[in-house]
Amino acid sequence: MENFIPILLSAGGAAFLTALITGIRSLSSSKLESEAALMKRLNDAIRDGSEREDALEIAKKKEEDRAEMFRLERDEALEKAAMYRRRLIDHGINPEG
Amino acid sequence: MISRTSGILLVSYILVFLGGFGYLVSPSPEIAGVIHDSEALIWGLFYLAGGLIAAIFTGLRPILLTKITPLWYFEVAGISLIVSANLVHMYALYEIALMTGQVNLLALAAVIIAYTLTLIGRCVEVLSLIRYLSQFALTPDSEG
Repeated sequence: MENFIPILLSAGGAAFLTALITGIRSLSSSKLESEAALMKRLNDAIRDGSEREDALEIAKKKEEDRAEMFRLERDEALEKAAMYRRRLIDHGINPEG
Repeated sequence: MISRTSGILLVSYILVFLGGFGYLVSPSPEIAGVIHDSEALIWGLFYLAGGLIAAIFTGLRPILLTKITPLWYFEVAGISLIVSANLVHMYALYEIALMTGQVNLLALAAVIIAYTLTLIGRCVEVLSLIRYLSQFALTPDSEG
C-alpha cells in the first residue's frame, strides 16, 4: 500500500496528459467553429434524416400496396384456375391427363 | 455570455485553485503525516494546476473563443488533476482514521468522494457531448 499514493498521482498525471494531448490534437485536426454553427448543421442533418426516413416510409408503403395488389391478382388467378379445373372435370376431361 | 452552470463551475474551480495555493503555502498536517514531502508538494500542485486549468478553460470557452467544443478537453484535463488529488486526500484521511480512530475523518473522506464523483460525472457528460458534437464537426479538408 506504500505505492498507492504515487500510483494515484501518476494516474492523475497520465489522465491529465491524455486529455491535454487529445484536446490539442482535436483543435488542430478540426476546423475551429462555434457550437452554434455545429448545432445548426446537426439540426439540418436531423431534418435531412427525417425527410429521408419519410421518403423511405412512403416507398415502403407503396411497395406494400403493390405487393397486396399482386397477392389479390394471384388469388384471383388461382380461383380462376380452380374454377376452370372444376369445369373441365365436370365436362369429363381430366386436366392432369 | 457565460452560462449559469459554467459560472458556478468556474467559481468552484477557482476555489480549488485557491485551496491548492493555500496547501502549498501552508502544508496540511494531515497529509504531511501520511505521505512524503515531495508527494505532498505534488498533491498541492495538482489542486493548484487542476483548478487553474479547469477555471481558465471553463471561463474561456463560452466567452473568448465562441464555444469551441474541443476546449472541453482541457477542462477534463484540469478535472483529472483535481480528482487525483482528491483521491490522495481521501486515502490520507482514511489512513489517519485507521491510525488514530477518528471516525469524523471518514465522514470528511466521504464528502471528498462525493465531490470527486460529481467531477467524474461532469467529465462523462462533457466527453459524451464532445463525441456527439464531433460527428458533425468540419475538418480543414472538408467543405462547409
